[in-house]
Amino acid sequence: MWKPNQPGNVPTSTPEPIRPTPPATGYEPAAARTPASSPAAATTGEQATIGKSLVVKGEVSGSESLFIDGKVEGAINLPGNRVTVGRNGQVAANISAREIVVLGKVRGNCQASDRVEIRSEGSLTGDVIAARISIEDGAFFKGGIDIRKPGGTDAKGGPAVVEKSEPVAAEA
Amino acid sequence: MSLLGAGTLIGRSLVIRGEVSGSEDLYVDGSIEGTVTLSAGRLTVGPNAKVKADVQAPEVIVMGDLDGNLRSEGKVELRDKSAVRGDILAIRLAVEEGAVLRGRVDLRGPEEKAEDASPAVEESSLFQHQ
Repeated sequence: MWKPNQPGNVPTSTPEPIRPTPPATGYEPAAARTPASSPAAATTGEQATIGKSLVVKGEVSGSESLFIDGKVEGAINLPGNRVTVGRNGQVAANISAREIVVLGKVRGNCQASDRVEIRSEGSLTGDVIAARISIEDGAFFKGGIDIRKPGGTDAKGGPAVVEKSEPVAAEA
Repeated sequence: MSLLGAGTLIGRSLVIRGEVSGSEDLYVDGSIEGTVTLSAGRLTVGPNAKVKADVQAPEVIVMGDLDGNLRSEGKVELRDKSAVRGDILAIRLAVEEGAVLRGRVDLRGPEEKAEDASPAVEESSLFQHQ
C-alpha cells in the first residue's frame, strides 16, 4: 500500500540508505578507497575515475569499471563493467554497461545487461533497457523502461514496461 | 606524489576518443586519441598508456607512449622506457636515460612569450599562438 510522502519530509537529502543488495566494492571512486601514493599504485586501482573538473567529449570504452564525477559528452561503452555517475557527474551520453548507478545527472539512453540503479539524488532522462532496475524514492526519471530478463520472455514486468518512447538525444 | 587525490584515473583498459579537458591531475594508463588539455594539475602518461593526442598541461610526466605534440607551462619529464613522438614546448625538460624522443624541443624561460617562436619550430602547429 502506498503512503504519500509526508509534507516537509522530502527525502532528497537522506544519506546513503542501507541497501539490501551487496555493494561489496562500493560506489566510491578508487581514489577514495586506495591511499594516494605513487603513480604505480594508481595502475592497480580497479576503477577508472573521471574527476570533478574533467570534461570528456567523445567516446569512452574499455573493460573496467568507471566512476564519473566530471562531465562526459558522447558515448560510454563498458560492456561487462559498472558505470557509476557520481554526485557531481554530468553525463550526456548513451551508456552501455553491465551495471549503471546514477547519483548525478544523466541524459541519454542506458542499456545494462544487469541492472540500472537511480539513487535518490540522481537524475536520469532517457530510455532504460535492463534486466533489473531500481529507482529510489526522490530520484528523477523521465523516459521509457524496458525490463528484459536474461534469456526469458520480456514484458513480464507488466505496466512498468514501456515498449517505445521517444528516444532522448544524447547531446550537450 | 598524490596523483589520485581528487584527480582522474584513466585505467589501462580504457579507451577515450575525443577531447579531454579539465583542471586537475590526470593519470592516463589507457588510450586517448584526440586532445588533452589541463589548465591546472599534472598529466601523467602511465607506463601502459598509449596516447595519440596533442597534450597541454602545466606539468607532464611521461612513462609510456605519447604520439603528439606536448606543451607545458612548466616541467616535462620523460622517464625511462617512455616514447614520445612529437614536439615539446616547455620551460623545463628532464629526459631520463632510456627514454625515446623523436621530435623537436623548445625550452624557454617563463617570461618568454610564445609569440617569439624560434625559426626552428615556427612551422609546427603546436607553437601557434592562441
